[in-house]
Amino acid sequence: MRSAYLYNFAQFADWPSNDQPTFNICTLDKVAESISPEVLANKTVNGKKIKLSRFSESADTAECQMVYLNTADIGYAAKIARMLSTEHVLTVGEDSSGNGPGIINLSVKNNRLVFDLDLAKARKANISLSSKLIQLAQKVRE
Amino acid sequence: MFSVRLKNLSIQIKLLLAQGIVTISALLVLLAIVLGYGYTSFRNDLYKDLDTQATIIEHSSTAAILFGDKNAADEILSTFKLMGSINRAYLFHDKGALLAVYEKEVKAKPEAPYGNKVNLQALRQLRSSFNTHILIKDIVFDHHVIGTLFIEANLDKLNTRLSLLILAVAVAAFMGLIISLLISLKINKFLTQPILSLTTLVEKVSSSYDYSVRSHLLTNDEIGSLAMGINAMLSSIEQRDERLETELAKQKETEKALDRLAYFDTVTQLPNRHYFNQQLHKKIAEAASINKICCLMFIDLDDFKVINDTYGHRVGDQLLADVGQRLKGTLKSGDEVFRIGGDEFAILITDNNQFSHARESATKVIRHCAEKFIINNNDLYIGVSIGISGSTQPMIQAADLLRSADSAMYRAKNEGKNNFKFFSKEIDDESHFRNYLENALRSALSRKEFEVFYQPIVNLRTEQIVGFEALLRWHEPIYGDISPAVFIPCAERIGVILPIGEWVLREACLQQKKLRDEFGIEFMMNVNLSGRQLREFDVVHKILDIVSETAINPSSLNIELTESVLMDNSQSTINKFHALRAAGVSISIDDFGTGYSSLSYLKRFPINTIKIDRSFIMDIAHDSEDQAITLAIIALANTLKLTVVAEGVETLEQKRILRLNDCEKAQGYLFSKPLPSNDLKSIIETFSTSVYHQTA
Repeated sequence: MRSAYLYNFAQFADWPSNDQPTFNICTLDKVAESISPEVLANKTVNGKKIKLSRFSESADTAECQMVYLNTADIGYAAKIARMLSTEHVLTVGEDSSGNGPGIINLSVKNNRLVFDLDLAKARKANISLSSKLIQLAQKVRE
Repeated sequence: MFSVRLKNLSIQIKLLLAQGIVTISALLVLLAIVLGYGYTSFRNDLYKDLDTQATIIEHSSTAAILFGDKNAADEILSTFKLMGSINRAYLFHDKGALLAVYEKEVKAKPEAPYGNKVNLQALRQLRSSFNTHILIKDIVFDHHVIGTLFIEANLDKLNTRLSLLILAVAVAAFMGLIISLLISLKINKFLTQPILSLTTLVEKVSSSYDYSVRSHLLTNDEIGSLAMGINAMLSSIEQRDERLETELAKQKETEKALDRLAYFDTVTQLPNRHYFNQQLHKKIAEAASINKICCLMFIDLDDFKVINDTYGHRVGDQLLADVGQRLKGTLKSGDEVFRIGGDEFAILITDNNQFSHARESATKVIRHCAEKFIINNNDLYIGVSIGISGSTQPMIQAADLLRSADSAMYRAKNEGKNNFKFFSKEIDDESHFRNYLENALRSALSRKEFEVFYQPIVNLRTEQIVGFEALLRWHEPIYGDISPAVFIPCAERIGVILPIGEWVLREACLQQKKLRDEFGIEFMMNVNLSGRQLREFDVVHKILDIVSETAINPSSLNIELTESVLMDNSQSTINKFHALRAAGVSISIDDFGTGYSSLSYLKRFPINTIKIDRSFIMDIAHDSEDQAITLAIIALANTLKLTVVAEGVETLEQKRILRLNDCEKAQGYLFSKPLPSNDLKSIIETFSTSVYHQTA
C-alpha cells in the first residue's frame, strides 16, 4: 500500500530537471515490508523507470529523487530529513502528530492510510506539489 | 366533391386560402428550422457544458482516485449539486469498483432511487433518451485509465427551453399569420374590388337588361382592359338592341300590314278566303255547341267574266266591291261575309234546322244584287247563283260543307242562274258524278278512251265534200259514250282540255294528211279550240308546231272558236288570231248567233268563216223569224266576204233554202253523221260518185 502511495506522490510532484536515467526511490533501512518492489516495477515517473535503492549518507543525494524515511528512529529520520531539506529530494516520513520529518508524512487513521504535507519544506527542497495532492492531504503545513 | 366546393368559393376566399396556405407553409418551414436549430444548439450547449464539467471532474478526481479517497471523490462529485440538470454521477476505480456517488435528491424516492448496487457494466448499457443524456468518460492519468466517470443528465432544462421556444415561435407564427391574413384581406380587397365591381355590373345588366350602365374602372391592368372590353361589349349590345328594336317595330308594322293583307281582300275590303277557312271551322264548332246549324252560302256572280272583259278590270273590281257592300247590307248580326275567290263570295250564318234564316237571306241577296249597279256611268246588271249547305250531320268537316255548298251553287248555275239551291242528295249524287268524271278524264287520254269523229262539210253548189269537222268522242268504260257537252266543260275546268285539245288537233291534222295523200284533195280540216286553250300564251306556237310536224298545208286547217271566246277582246287574243292567219290557218266562228253577238268583233277579228248555229237551221223551213235571221247572217257574211257554213242540216228542204240563199257550205245528218276515220274513205268515194245524183 505504501509503495502505491509513494508512486502516486511521485506522480503529483515536480522536480527540477536532472540527468538521471531512472527515477530513484531510496529507503533508509532495508526496503521494508511495507514497500513491495513488484508494485513499482515497470512503472515510470516522467518517462523514467523507477529504481529502488538504499540511501547512504555518503552517497550523492542526487542519486535519490524520493527518500522514504522508513525508520523507527524518529531522531534519525529527522536528522536525515534535515540533511536533505535543501536537496531536490521528496522526503516521505511516518508521523501522525502533524510535525513529521518528511515533506510528506504518512499515518494511519481509521484503518486508512492518510498523509500530511509540509509545503514549507517542499519549497525549501524546490519541489512543487500538485494542488490535487494538497486537496487530499489530512493536514497541510504552509 | 372538394374541388367542386372549392370552385364555388368566391375569388376573394380563394385568394385568401392560397395566401393562407403559402403563409402557413412558410411559417411551418421557419418553425421547423428555428426549432431544429434551437434544439441542436441547446443540446450542443448542454453537451459542451457537460463535457467541460466531466473534464473538470476528471482532472480534479485523478488524485482522489489514485489515493482511493472516497470522501474527496464524493466532494468532487457533489459539485453537481450546483447543476440541477445532473440526475446522478458515479466515479469508478479502474477495477470497476464504485468510488464516489452523486445522486440528485428525488423527493418521491428518498432512498436509493437507482438501487443500491451500481454496476458499471450495467450503466454502460444505458443510452441517451429524450429525457436523459448519458455521458461515460474514462479518466486517464499519465496515459493510464485509472477510473471511469458516469454522468446521467436530464434534459428537462433543454426540453423546457425547447417548449418555450416552440411556444414563442408558435405565438410569433400565429401573430404573423393573423397579420398576414389582415394584410391579405386588405390586398385581396384591393385586388378583387375591381372584379367584384365588374361582377356586380354584369349581374345588374343581366337582371335589369339595362345595357346603358358602364364600368368606371380606370386601372391599367388586365382588369382595367376587361372593364373596357365589357364596356365596349355593352355599347355594341346597346346599339344592336336599338337597331333590333327599330327593326322589330318595323317588322311588327309589316306584320300588321301582312296580317291585314293575309286576312283581308283589298278589292272589296272584306275578309278573304284565308280568314273564311278559319271562321268556318270556328262557326261549325260554335253552332254544334248550341244545337244550331252553321250555314254556308256560297255565292257566285253570274257571267262576271263577261262584264270584266267588256268593261275592264277596274269596273269589274268596283262591281265586286259594290256587290260586297250589298251582301254586307243583307247581313244580320252574327253573320259574316267573305270574298273567297275571283267572283265568289261566302256568307256564314248560324241557322235553325229549317234553314229559314238562310232561305230568307238568299232571297234577299238575289233581290239586292238584281238591282242596277252604276259604275263609271255604266248601268250594270248581275245575277248571283247561290249554293247553300249546312252542318246538319254531326262531325261534318269544313271541307265537306264547302264542297256541298259549291255543288249546290253549281246546280243553281246549271238551272238557269240567278237563284239559290240547297244542297241535297240529288246534288250530292251529281257532284259525285262530276267528281267521277273529273277523275276519269284525267286518265282518259292515256287510256286511249278518246276517238276523233269527222263530220263532212259539203259545198252546197258542187255537192262535194270540201272538209270535215273533227269532233271528239269519249268512250267511257263505265258510263259508255259521254257527250262532249258534258265532259268538255269539265275538262276545261280541271285543265285537261289542253293535252286533249292538242291530241285532237294532231289526230285531225294526221287525218287530213292521210286523206290528201289518198285522194289528192286538200280537205279543209275544222278543229274546235276551247277558250281555255286560246288563253295559253303559246297556243299559236303549239298549233303551228303540230301543223309542221304533221306536214299539212296550213291553209287546210280551220280553227273553230265559239262566240264567247271573242268576248275577250284583249290585244293579246287579237294578236294570236293575226299570227294564225299570217301562218295561213283559217278561223271560223262556231255556233254563230247564240252567244253575245256583237257584230263589232267581225270587224276586229280576222275571221274567215261563220258557222250558223243549228238552232236557226232547225226551223228554217217553218219559222219565218229563224229564216230571216239565217238569211241575214248569210247576207252579212257574203257582204263581209266571209264563208258561211250552215250547221245541223237535216232535210232536203233546209238544204234547198240555204242553197237558194247563197249559203256556201253545210254540214248535218242530211249529208252524213260524224264518222270514225275508217269510214271517211267510203263516204268521200260515195259523194264523188253517186251522192250528187241522189240529192240533185
